[in-house]
Amino acid sequence: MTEMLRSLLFAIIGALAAAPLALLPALHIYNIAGLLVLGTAALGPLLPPEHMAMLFLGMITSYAILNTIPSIFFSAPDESMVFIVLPGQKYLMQGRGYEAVALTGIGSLGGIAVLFLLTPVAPRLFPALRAVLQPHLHWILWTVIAFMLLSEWPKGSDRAPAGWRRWWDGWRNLVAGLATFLLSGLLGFVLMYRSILPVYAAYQNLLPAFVGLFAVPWVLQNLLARVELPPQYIARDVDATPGLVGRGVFAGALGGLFAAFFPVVTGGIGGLIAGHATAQRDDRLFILSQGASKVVYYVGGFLLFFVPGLYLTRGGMAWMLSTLWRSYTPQAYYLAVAAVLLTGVLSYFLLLALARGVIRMMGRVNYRVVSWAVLVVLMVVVMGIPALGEYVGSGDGTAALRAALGGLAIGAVATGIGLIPVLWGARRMNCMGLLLLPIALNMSGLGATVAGWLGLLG
Amino acid sequence: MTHCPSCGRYVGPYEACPYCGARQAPRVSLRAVKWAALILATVGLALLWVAATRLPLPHISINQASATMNFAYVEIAGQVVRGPTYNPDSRSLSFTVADDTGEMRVWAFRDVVDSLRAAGRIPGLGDQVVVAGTLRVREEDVSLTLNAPEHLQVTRPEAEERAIGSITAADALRRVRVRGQVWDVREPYSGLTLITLRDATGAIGLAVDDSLRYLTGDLPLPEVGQSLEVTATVSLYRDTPQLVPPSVREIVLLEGTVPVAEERPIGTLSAADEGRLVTLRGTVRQAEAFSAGYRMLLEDDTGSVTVLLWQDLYRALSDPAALQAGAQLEVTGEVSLYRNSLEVIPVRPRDVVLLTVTPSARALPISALAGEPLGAMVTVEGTVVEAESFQNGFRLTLDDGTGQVVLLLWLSVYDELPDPASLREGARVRATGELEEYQGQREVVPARGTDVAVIQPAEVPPRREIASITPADRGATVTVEGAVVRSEPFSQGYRVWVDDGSGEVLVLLWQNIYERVAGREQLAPGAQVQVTGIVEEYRGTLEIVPPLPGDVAVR
Repeated sequence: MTEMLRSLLFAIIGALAAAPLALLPALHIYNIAGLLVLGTAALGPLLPPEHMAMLFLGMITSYAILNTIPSIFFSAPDESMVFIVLPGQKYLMQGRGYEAVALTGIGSLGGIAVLFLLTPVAPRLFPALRAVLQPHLHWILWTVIAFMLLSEWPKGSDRAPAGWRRWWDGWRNLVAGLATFLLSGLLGFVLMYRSILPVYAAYQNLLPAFVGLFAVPWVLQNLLARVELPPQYIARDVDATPGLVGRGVFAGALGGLFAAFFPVVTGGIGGLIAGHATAQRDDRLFILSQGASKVVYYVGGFLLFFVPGLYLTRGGMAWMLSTLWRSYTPQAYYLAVAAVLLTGVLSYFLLLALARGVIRMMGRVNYRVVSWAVLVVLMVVVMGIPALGEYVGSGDGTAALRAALGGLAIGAVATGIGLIPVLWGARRMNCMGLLLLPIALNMSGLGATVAGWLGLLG
Repeated sequence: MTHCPSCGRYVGPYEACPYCGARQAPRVSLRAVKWAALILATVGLALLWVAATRLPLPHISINQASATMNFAYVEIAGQVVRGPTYNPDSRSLSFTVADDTGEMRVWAFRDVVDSLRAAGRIPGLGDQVVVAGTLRVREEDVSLTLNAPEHLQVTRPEAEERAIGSITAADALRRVRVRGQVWDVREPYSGLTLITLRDATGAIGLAVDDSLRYLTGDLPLPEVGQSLEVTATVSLYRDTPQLVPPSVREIVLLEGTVPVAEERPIGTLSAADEGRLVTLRGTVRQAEAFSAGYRMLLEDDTGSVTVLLWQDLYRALSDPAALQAGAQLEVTGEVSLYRNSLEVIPVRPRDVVLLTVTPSARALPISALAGEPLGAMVTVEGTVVEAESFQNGFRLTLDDGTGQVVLLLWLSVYDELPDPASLREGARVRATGELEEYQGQREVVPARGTDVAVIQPAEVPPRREIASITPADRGATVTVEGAVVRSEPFSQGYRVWVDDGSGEVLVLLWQNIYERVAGREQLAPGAQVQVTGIVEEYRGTLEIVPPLPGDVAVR
């Protein structure tokens, strides 16, 4: 009993620690967890691994709910949030940012409820599902890619002169999307087969690329756009009926589960597919579903790691934890579900409170200063984590400096690719080509062939 | 500005408002940013790619792998110390590589396995490999996933020619080439075939599992006695050396025969030969059965030694009766020391070869049996003059004109007879068996059904009308033929009433007889039967009791 309470306490500590970190735009909780793993490698176990697991669980639950705040107020979403930006920004520009946050929070609570309801069936359902789907993952992944690319639509203004210019006006976002997918896919190949980062930082091999693809472009966009936010209204209720909430949670949970269960598919992609599958047309429904989707994607994906007998590792947090600990017993799973419930509810209340705090601060803090500060933090992350990893592993300062520069170089190239959809109006989700293209090719048995064409096997 | 100055709506990065079409004030930096982004994305990626392709693969020693290296693409080098193992469900290949610092499991999946297999580049136990792939660090282990067949280099060490007996545990992971004769082929569990190979110096197991067969080709199982040349790596199973070939192609069938034992004059055998397999040639001087088998004294010009045949081997010999004094044998067996006496113990029937037929293997006159020692294997020939059944078998009295002897057939032996129906009173029989004595009477007891042969079938006895059988016939053997009018089982057998039109008689079939009557399932009212048996009377009722199953013919 004492051990159980201690585990829950670590989950709550994780949730509380992640809360202020989740408010920092573009700072991913995986980076913080990565630092803890690095600390464990350098200093020996900081915590017993089972407590580390609970700490991570609290952190990811809190992050999944609270990162709504920067994604709505600071417009710096991570790769799972690219879809919430448009409706969220719309609400923000209408002074209803708090309402968007509250709607997302309700969706997140719904997502946690779905995870709780799945608890009794998960140990039997998911292993069976995995056994059925495992041989088909490669073509399912290709279908997801095809859907993602083909469902983009021309976004021209219809005002360009006739001829090629009009064609380009309509199709440039499609071309930009395809270019983004291919360029990020090539970057993924380079990083997976012959990364310039040192091996001691390999567990965060893709971090500079993700920061460059998703975080930096948004910060740059904010800096360039000179956003002036209207005053925000703190609503006492939200414009949503129980039926709407139910539909939103259902759609979001569907997308989140799809993303959590399938490798490489993120919450954003899952949300896109679920959104189409359930024919969403309402902004409120969209925001609700995204709240549910990202919680089910992040937390549900991590919970799969705890399901007894499944041995499924999904998401960066689970991959990092798998190097230190593995769950074997049903008790650990049920304890994890209890921790998710507890920290999920706690995070919801923190979400509302912190959203109010942010709204109050927004008038006082210069938005550009915040953006510049975030950019500096991102540069520190991109250079610091590889450098620290190398220094801890090899103890060589020069090699650490080279690692820092390597991280910066990857981050810079990724930023260039990540800016393409931002500047040409394509889906930023195409940046997921970083993982989708190499892994889908690997699953189809063609990865090594393509890597050979690229000269990466020599 | 992100809002249209004309309609006030949000336009983001558009240069013309998508709602009203008003051109937005040109933002000098945007075009520059677009170009900068494009250059950064394309030129930067190209530079990154060039830098990456010029970097050597990071080489690590196995114990360097740590949690922060998870997903690193690294190269390791070492020797394959376990595997390869193939899992058909996941289509995965795995093997363990060891260097001076530790061990690591290497995995390959699906197409990579297929490519390696097609190219014949599956690593074998003991091979030196350099392998590059993605490192996977888990709480419980560290493994490497081979993503490209090109990233596995296999160097197979040269094999040394070795005699089987010279291979010890110290040779673990060394590649050897041996020639030997297949001594035994068995499957201890599904998926593993163990072939015991022998040469004149010793024996060793050759392990061929399903993984090896799938990965390198199918292996037609060699037969016992065939000779093979095998190039394989020595592995240890519970500290005992065994051979694991890297490919089934390294198992080659030889034309000639590899001798499994050294041919030795008997006089040269000594205690130092204990455990060694030897081949001896000599003449049997004494032979006797004992409780667990058969013992012979084999002699040549240089000396003599006891040859011991355990019961199961003795019974498996094709002609055990021939192993009599005077027979010349070639025996291959293991030298053993028992109470300071040397014994040679063959383990396979094929290792006891009769070179000349001993005169005593011919049928003995029954009168001569009195001079034979109990336990001797004897062959007799005679006519069945009397037969009776008992619970566990049949007792037949043979008469060859010189005397009579009981031929005892246990049920198990009777059931092995090639033609049991022909074994009846009056038939001429040749039988080989052990000479035994029961209640002062000598018996010949064959060990197998093939030791009993009916040389001449009995004549069909004259048929009697049932009505003619009277109490005066008690003890006489009669033959009747008629229709079954009713039948019923009883506690010790079956009763059948037969009617031939002249009358009705009870035929009593004891259980051991009834169970062996050919076509007994048709013994129902209406069936025609011919029965030969002894007339007996039980509680005032005459009955015919057949002594042998062949005495009842169901038509």
